[in-house]
Amino acid sequence: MASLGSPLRTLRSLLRELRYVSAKAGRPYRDMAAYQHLREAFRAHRITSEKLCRAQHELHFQAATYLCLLRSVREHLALHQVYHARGERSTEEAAGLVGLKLPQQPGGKGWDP
Amino acid sequence: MAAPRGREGQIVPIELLVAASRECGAVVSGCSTPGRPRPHGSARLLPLGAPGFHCRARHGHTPRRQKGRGFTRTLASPKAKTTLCNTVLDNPSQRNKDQLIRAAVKFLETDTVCYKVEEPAGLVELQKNEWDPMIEWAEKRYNVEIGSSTSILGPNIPARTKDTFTSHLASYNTWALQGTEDDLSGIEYVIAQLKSLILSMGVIDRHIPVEKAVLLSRLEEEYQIQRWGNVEWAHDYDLYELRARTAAGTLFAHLCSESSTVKHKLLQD
Repeated sequence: MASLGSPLRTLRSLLRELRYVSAKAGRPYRDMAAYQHLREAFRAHRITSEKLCRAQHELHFQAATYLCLLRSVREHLALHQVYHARGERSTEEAAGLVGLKLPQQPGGKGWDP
Repeated sequence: MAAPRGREGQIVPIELLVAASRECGAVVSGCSTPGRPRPHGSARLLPLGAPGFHCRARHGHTPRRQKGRGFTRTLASPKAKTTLCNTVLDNPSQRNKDQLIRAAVKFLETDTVCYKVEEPAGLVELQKNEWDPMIEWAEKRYNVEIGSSTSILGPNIPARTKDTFTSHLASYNTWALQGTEDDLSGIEYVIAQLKSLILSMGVIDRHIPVEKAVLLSRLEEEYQIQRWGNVEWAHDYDLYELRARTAAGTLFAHLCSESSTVKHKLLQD
């Protein structure tokens, strides 16, 4: 059974992901509703009577799954931006790749009236 | 935005997860093919007064139980075709729960984890070390027999196994199982992404984390990547997409089927 690591690590990674999100939104991350909820949830479930550790693991698993979701969405978007977002080159750019320039015809090509 | 509050004044986790995803900047209300208008406003938060969404607090003992069901969560990537849409709707694909369960159990016959290769030796070894523990765990957990085979026909799944899985899947409510019209959400989605019922059960039962399940699902690909090298714009791209979808599916299934109870210890005088 693969271990999830410590809850502290998960919490810190989650906060880091929230920081990335808030950087995009332009607001400080402490204002975000999700931050408040995470903080309260981690604090509230920290102390158990240790009788039913399984519940703690379940919550930690859910936090880890959410972390995986945020992280992979962000990385996926980043990869998409780098590799797949640009679309086709224009004709000028394509010609410029091999050092050619498009021909200029000052009078127009005669197609337009 | 102000934190949405439940009826008792406590913050509801599901709405907040939606809020978080919304603030991701990646959330767009819509469906998987954004050009097509929906007949009704489907991508929306269910109002707090919706059925199945209630908070109860009792005096005295104060155990509080909240059951959150039915939330809307939409993630869109820039590519129009790969929009991941988790929406709770009434059943648009006109499949009832039994058909869903039967389709899922039928998947067991073509389960990834049960098909082994015979060569190359490194891959055989890897499959033995990684997939066999999963099969053993599933057999022990559900008290069934699932073999693995190297032939093209696949393993022979006894009927008792299928019945066990059918009854297990039937214990999840429809929203945790079911899909929407274009994309599926919940358990079915996870099964479709991972191409394996056993791995999906492992994730839903919180036995293995999502990253490990994705790794096991792509075992052969990982082996070839280690051998021949990694192509970032294809392999990593698909890996992260698969991880995101699986994580979303499991989160949806868990949130739809969980109920949390808070028990406060009474002070001893």
